[in-house]
Amino acid sequence: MNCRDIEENTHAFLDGALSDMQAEAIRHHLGACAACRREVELARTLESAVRVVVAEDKPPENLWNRIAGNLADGHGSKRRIRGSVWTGVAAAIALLALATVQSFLAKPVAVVEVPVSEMRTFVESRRPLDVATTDPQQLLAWFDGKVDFRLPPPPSTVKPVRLVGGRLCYFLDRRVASYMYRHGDRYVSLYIFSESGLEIPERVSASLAQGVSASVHRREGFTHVVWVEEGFVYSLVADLSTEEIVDLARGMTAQFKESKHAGGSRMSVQVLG
Amino acid sequence: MADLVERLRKRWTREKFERQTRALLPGLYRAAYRLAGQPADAEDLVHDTYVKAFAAYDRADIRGEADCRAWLTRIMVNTYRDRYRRHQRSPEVQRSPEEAEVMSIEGAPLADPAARAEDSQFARAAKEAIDGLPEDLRIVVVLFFSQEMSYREIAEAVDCPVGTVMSRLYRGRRLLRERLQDHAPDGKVASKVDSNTKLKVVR
Repeated sequence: MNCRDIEENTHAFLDGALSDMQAEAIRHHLGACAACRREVELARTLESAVRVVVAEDKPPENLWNRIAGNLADGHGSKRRIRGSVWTGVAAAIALLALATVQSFLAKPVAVVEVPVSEMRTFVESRRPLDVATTDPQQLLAWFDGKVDFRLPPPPSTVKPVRLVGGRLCYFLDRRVASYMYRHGDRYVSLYIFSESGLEIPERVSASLAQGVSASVHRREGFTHVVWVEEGFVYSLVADLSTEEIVDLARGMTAQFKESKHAGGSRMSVQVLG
Repeated sequence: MADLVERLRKRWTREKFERQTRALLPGLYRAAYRLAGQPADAEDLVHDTYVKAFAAYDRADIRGEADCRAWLTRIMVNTYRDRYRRHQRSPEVQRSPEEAEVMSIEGAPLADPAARAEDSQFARAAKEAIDGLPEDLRIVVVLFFSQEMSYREIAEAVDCPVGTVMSRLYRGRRLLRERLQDHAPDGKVASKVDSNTKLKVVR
C-alpha cells in the first residue's frame, strides 16, 4: 500500500468501511509514514469539527407541535378498511379498547393532546419563561401585539398556584398565549387560543361555573382541563390530581368572571387585524 | 361501529407514526437547515416532509429506525428538489441575518475569547464550505454529516447506487478539506500541514 492508496482510502478508513485486512494495511502504512499520518489526522479533526458545527442547528421547540397539530387535523392516513379479516381484527381491537381505555373515545384528540405535549416539552427542556412577572397588567401588556386577540387579565393568585409569567406559543396553526403559574416547584400553564376551526371534546366531565362546562383528561402524566368561553379555548395543564385541577379551573373561571363584571376585562371575541 | 373502528385505527396509526418518527426530528431539521439555508424554510421543509410521510405511512415498508430515517429523508430530499432548489439555492448562498448573528456567537462553551473567535470562524467557514458544494455533492455531504447516515441509507434517500454515493461523498469531503484546512479548529493541526501536503482535489 502506498501514499496514493492512503489518499484514496482515507474516508473509508475513517468511516470504518474497509475490511479488516485493508484497515490493517493502512494502519501499517501510517505507522511508517508521517505525511500520511498527518493527512489522516487532519481529515479526522476537520470532519469531527464539521459534525459539531452542523449539530448546533437545533429545531425550534414548537416545530413538533406544529407538525403533530397538522397530522391530527386529518391530513395523512387515508386508507380505507377493506375485507372481512381487517374488519374483524379492527373490531376486536375496538372492543378491547372500549373495555380498557375509555379515554380513547374522546374525540377529537388534537386540542387535548397538543397542549400537553407543548407543556411537556417546556418542562423537560427547562427553558426559561418568555416573560417573568407576577403582575397581571404587566403580563397583559407584554402580550399586547403578540397575539391577534384580546386576552382576559390573568388571575394573579388562585389557590394553590400563583402567577409567575408567560410564554408565547404556536400550535394547532395558531398563536397561543400561555399564562404560567407555579405550584410549589412545578409549573402550571393556562393556554388561551381561538376556538376557530377546532373541534372541541364533546365529553363533559365537570361544570366550572354556570354555563361553563369542561372536559378533563389525563395525558403523559399531566392533567388537562379544556373549556370554551366566548370563542376562546382555555386549556389548563398541570401536574395535579383531577380534583385539584378542576378546583383550580373553577377558581380561574370565577376570577375571569369577576374581573369582567368589574369592567376590568378586555376580553373580547373581536379578532384584531 | 364502523366509524369507531376507523377512528381507533387512525389514532393507532398516528401514535405509531409519532413513536417511530419523532426522535428523528433533530437530525432531519439539521439536514433541512443545510439544504434550505434559512430557518423558516427548514421548518417548512421538515413540516411538509412529516405531513407527506404520514399520508404515505400505510404504504411504507419500514423495518427499523435506519429504514425509517432513510424513508423520511428520501421524502425530504425529493420535496427539497421539487420545491426549494428551483428558486432558492445557488453555490453562493445568502444566509439569513439571524444566522450570521448566531454564527458570530457560536463557540460559546469556550471560555477563552481567542479560541472562541477561532471556533466561530471555523463554524462560519464550515457552513460556507458545505453551502458552496455542487448540488449533488452537497446533498450527500449534508446527509452524511448532519444525520450520520450510512452509505446505504444515503443511497436509499437520494435514490442512487451506493457506489455513486461513495464517489460523491469522496469528492465532497475532499473539497471540504481543501476549503477548510486553513481554518482547522485547532491551530496546531493546521500548522502541521506544510505546502507539500496540499491536497489534490478530485473533481
